[in-house]
Amino acid sequence: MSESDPYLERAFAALRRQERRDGPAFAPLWQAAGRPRRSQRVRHFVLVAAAAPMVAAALFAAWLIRPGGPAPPHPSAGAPTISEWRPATDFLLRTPGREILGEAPPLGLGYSIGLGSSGVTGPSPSTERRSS
Amino acid sequence: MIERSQEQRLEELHPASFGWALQCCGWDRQEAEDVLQEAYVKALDGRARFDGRSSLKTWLFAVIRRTAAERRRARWARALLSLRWRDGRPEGSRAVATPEALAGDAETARGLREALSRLPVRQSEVLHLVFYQELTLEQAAQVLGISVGSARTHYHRGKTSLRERLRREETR
Repeated sequence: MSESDPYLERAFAALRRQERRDGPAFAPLWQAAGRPRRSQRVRHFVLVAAAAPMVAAALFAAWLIRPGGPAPPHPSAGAPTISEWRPATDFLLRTPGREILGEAPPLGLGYSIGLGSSGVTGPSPSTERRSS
Repeated sequence: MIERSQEQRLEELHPASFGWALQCCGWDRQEAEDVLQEAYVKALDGRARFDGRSSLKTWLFAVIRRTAAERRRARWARALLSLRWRDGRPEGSRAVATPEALAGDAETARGLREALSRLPVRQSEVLHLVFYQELTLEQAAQVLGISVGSARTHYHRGKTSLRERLRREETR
């Protein structure tokens, strides 16, 4: 003790005597402490109940991704190849006269493009000039 | 885990431990018993492990104090959640139990308990550890997890304040 204080020492000694007289025995408390308590059992049950679905989900995921397991279907399975594919708006490109636009004109020949009798026929001026 | 020799030592310390548990629980006897039992549970299941760095008594007292604080915090949290307040104080706060009408020490003990319960907690704890448990200030500081200097300050202030309160009680 740091400094003696008889007045306080007497008071605390009285408190100590009284509390020790009325205190609980060691054995029952110690034995009760050794037994798993109901709250602990409940806590264990809740923990197990909460962990079980998570463990099951983890096991299922591990089974899915295991080597040699069923391969998930590829997202492009059943889709047409790029050479077969036609866009839905393809018909808009089918305009009159697209056959002419789609091929190169033969050199030295003129064209009559729907002008009737007054249509331009024969070689083009540039062809004439070159041949003379 | 606890060895047989340590169990015997705990049994020897049991009355002092109960006195300390009472102090930590504001002299609520039922709560003190629960705290002491929980401290024993911690010692048995290894949640509190004695590593020999201090005396067994100092270690056990620190475990009891921590357990009492944990239970107090849990009770306050429950009281806050359920908004159950009694007389403006959380349930189980430092209520002074009525002492049994035993002759002799009873009246002194009652007066001391009342005076101690009105002191700041740290001062009350240091005085209990020094006067009741007869620990040195160094050991008391170890139990409370504070510096020796701080424990000494609490001790001197608490002693002066307690003596005044007890004298005032006597003259009343």
